[in-house]
Amino acid sequence: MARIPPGLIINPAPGVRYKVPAVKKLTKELILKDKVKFQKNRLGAATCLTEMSLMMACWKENDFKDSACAKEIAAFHKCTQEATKERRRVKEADLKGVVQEGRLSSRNTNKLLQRFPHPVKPH
Amino acid sequence: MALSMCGKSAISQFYRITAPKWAPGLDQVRTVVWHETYQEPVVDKEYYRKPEEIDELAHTRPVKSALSTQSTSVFNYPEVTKFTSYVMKKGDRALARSIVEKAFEHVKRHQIKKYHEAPAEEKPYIDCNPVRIFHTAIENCTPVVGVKSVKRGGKTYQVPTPLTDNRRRFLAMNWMIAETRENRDWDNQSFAKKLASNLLEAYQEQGKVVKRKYDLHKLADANKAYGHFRFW
Repeated sequence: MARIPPGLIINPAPGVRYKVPAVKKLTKELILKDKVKFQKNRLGAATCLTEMSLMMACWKENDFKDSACAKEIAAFHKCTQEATKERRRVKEADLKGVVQEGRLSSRNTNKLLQRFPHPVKPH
Repeated sequence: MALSMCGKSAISQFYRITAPKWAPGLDQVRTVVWHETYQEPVVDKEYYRKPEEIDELAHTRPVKSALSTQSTSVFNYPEVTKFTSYVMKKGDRALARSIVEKAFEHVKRHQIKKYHEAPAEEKPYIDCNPVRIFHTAIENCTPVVGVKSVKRGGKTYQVPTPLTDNRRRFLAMNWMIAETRENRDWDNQSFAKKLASNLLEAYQEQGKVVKRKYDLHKLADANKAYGHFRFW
């Protein structure tokens, strides 16, 4: 007997047409690529938020005068400089191949996969 | 250095220096394209006073020519040069430089007049150095934080963000020049004169340019709740 497609109603009401969902056919082969997707923005956290909020609180009190809030502004600048240095260091370490935060970046993963490719290739 | 010169010199025959040619009739001018062998020049008197350390590989490489804006003179201020570049239009650096120097002259005259008219107690506090006034004015116009548009859930938020030093300096100088250019009384007040008055106002933390900085700070403060939308 022919296979009954799912959704087929055996006794349809008179005059009513029912849709039968099509069965998907597998056209691709189940072979993995030697690449992973490129991760552009590995989403990091916003840095120096506390320093920024302190500075803005100082501004609110002193009517946005920079001369009155010199200490907070200096602290904020110092924090941003350190954050920039840290980001640069992480990027340079990633280019050398060091694992960052327990994860290998997509760039380095692809390099590794290239060195040990899958023996069977898709046609 | 005109590119047509490059094509005829002996060096280009060896290294084939070419500038990008976007269309058959178009030639890029006012640019210099050096081969990668050429080193950057060192524009520093102290470096040449020391005995030279002969580095075999570097010694064989030729050196690029220094820019006309670079100088070892004590009267050459890199910030003023940068400001002049922003004032410059269509590559007319001579005109831009004369404008900025004229503006400094106006500033100096104004300050000297103020100095002679002031009582003895105030005299030490009046600064007659126009370059120092320029530096202070630009510093007073420099914003501390900026805002960046971040799209989240279909809506665009103005997220407060730290800025790099170069970006901050550019904003301050750009605002100064934009303010000088707009709403100028063409017949009565020259660009140099208006620039001088703007610099003096910014030096005293008054005027439209400093107000623009405060507006940016207020915008950042108003949107500080969206600070977490930053991912950099």
